[in-house]
Amino acid sequence: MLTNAFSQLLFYKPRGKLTNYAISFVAISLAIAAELLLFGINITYVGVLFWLFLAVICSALVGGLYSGLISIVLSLVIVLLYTLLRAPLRSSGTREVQTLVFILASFIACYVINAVKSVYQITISILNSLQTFTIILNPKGQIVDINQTALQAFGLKRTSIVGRSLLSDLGLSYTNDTRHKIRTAIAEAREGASSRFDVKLSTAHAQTYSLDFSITPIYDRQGNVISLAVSANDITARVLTEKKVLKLNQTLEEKINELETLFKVLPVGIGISRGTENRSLTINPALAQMLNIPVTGSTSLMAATLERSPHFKFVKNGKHLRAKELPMQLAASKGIVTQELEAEIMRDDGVTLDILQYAMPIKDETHGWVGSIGAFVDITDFKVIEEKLRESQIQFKGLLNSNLIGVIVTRLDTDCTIMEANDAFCTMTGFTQADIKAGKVTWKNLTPPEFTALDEAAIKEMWQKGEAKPYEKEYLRRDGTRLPILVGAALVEPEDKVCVAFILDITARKKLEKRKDEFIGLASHELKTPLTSMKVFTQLLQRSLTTNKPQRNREYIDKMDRQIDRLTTLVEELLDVSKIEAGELPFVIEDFDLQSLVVETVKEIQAISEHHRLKITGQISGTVPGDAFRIKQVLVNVLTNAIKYSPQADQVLVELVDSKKQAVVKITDTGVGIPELDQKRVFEKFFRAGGKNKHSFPGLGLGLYLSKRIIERHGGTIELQSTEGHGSTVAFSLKKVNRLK
Amino acid sequence: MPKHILVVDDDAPILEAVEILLEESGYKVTALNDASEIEAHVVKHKPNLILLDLLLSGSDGRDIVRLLKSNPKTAQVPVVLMSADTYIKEKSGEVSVAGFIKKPFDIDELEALIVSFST
Repeated sequence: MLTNAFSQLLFYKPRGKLTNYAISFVAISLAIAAELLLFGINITYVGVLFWLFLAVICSALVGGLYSGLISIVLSLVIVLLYTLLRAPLRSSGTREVQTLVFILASFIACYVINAVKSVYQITISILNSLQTFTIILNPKGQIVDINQTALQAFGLKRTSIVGRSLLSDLGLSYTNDTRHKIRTAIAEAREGASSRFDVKLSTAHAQTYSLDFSITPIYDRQGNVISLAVSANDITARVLTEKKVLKLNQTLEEKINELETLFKVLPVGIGISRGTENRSLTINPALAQMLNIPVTGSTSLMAATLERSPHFKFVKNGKHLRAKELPMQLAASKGIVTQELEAEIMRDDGVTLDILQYAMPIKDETHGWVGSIGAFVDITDFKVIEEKLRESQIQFKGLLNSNLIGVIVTRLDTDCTIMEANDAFCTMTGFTQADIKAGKVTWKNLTPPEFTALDEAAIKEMWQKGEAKPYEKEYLRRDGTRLPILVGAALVEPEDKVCVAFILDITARKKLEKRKDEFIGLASHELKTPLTSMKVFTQLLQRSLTTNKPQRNREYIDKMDRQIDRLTTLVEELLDVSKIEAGELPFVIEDFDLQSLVVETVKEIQAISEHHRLKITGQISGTVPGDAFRIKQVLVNVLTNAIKYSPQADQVLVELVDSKKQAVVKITDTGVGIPELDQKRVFEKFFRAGGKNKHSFPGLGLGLYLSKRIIERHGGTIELQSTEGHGSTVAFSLKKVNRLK
Repeated sequence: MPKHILVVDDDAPILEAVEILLEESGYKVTALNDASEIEAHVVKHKPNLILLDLLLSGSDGRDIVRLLKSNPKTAQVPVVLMSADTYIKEKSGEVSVAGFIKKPFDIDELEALIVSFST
């Protein structure tokens, strides 16, 4: 009995599963039955049933209800087998043969059952091994089986759901739409149609699944639907990814739109080239405007070809950039990045733009450089501003370094301390840079009291308008002397109360002004002098006319006439000065006898000079070229000066010196002479010699100035030699050869 | 005996004109165009009035006035300064003079001035 039982165990290897134990016990019970038959007990239905009942009980005790049920099924199979085999067994052979046949039949039955069980086990294993959620439904839609994957995912227990409808309350929540779809699909599958759709469901653990759901009918051999296979793929991750991708796409689209807008409205010119040749570019409106070409169509930055003349060219440092030197070309063909290349775009409409160019290659992972992006920034306006700034800086620096204008930086505190000053200011005022650094120099200590009010007004004006109009004042120099200046100032850092002032030394102008004032006084004096005598003679004439004294009348008229001549000469001299300065004084150049002219002039002067004797020595042969009238003017001037400035003397010497090339006239007096300091200046306009006593000598300060201009126009020279207190010599020379232009 | 007047001016025509005018009016006139001779002349001839030009060749009329005023022998003689300068009074400064006359002048004006000193 035990031998048989173990032989059954060999065919079915129990591995602790309850069902396996149940099968083993069936085999054992069959073996027991066979032993009984073998030892002479007759087999009857009752007997077989009894032993089977015993086997089932054993099976249920050891393997549980499930094993018990299986044992019942197997017992029925054995009963059926006994029924089939009873008659042939009884009629054939011995009891041993009968027993052997029955054992063999039992063995085959067990084997078949085991095989069926194995197939089922394999099927279940396959189902469990699938990652797809798999559920077998009966045609009513009740769950027959479900795989492990689905159970785990949905958090379900197999035993609690088998036999229940898929749409019943299993702990899964569906939307109404899903529920409707599943119900329809089950109904269709029952009719033989497969369906597939996406569903969304939540588990008891509140986990949401997106599923690719399909229901397929399973047929038997006759083509009847015996069950429905439900398979569902978890597409939760895919759906999420799809959503993300969709969102990314939207974002990308938005970004592209933004970039496109930027491309269109950016004030920077942008060109994008595809291909390494730069023959075709996409350009934005800004670049189109810079290049003066339409935005649409194919544009090329390449140089002119036979088919195409350029509308523009790129120039760097005055050199025309060739196609292969262009930054975008370098980027596209060699991957060279260009940053801030300064160049010019010269358009054929004559417009030149200064630009800064940037270029970057576009790289393709498989093909390398496939194009480039170029940016063009129009810096023409900046250039202009920069240039102007540079010029003004140079000008300002020039001003600062020049010795013409003093420049000071002042803090407008109580005393207005000068913080910085240029060297011109130091030269003017006698203060040193060290004095300024030490804060010793202020507007207050530079300004004489009578000019304080002007300074205060200027500061007030600066606070109101930012600048003070130039005004004249005086500075007290370091040594206490005064300096006339013109000063203008402007606030540069109002918050720090800092201003810059420009100071012009107007000493020379003031001197000139003074000389002009003196001149006006003198001119009026000189004009009034002949008028005085004329007026007396006129009135005397009036009186004498009533007394009828013809002889006296004529006398007065003669005297008046002479005064009119004198006035005329004065007025002409003044006119000559203004004419010679304007270059309008006419000269009539002819060869003339200089010696004769000297003699004649000396005679005329001698006639009106009572105290002085005019003496001529030496000789000049031949003639000199020149304007005799103007040379006579010079002679009269120098001779009258000699007489005027030697009131105590009685002689004026006129010396003629002749040489091959030139004739020289020297006029010497033994008068007051001219101080050494003034000697260089006697030929200046309005300058009057005489030092302290100059006001004692009438004259306009024009005679020698005019004489020098006349002699220089003749190509000659005029010089003065003088010793103060001993007299002066004025010598002028004229060239004998006519070299006048 | 007519009043004695000393006229000093470096401009000969003026000197001549004034001399003629005053002589015709009955004065005794001495005309000088050299400043250096004035003091000696005044000391010697004691004129009643001096008509002195402010601006003389080589010397200043004011210096001559000072000189005359510093000499007791000449200090009493009144001096009238003549000048073409509009600001003659201002320019005379502190110099003590009896009067001023601006050139060009009316002969009636000059005569009236002289008369005022004669009375």
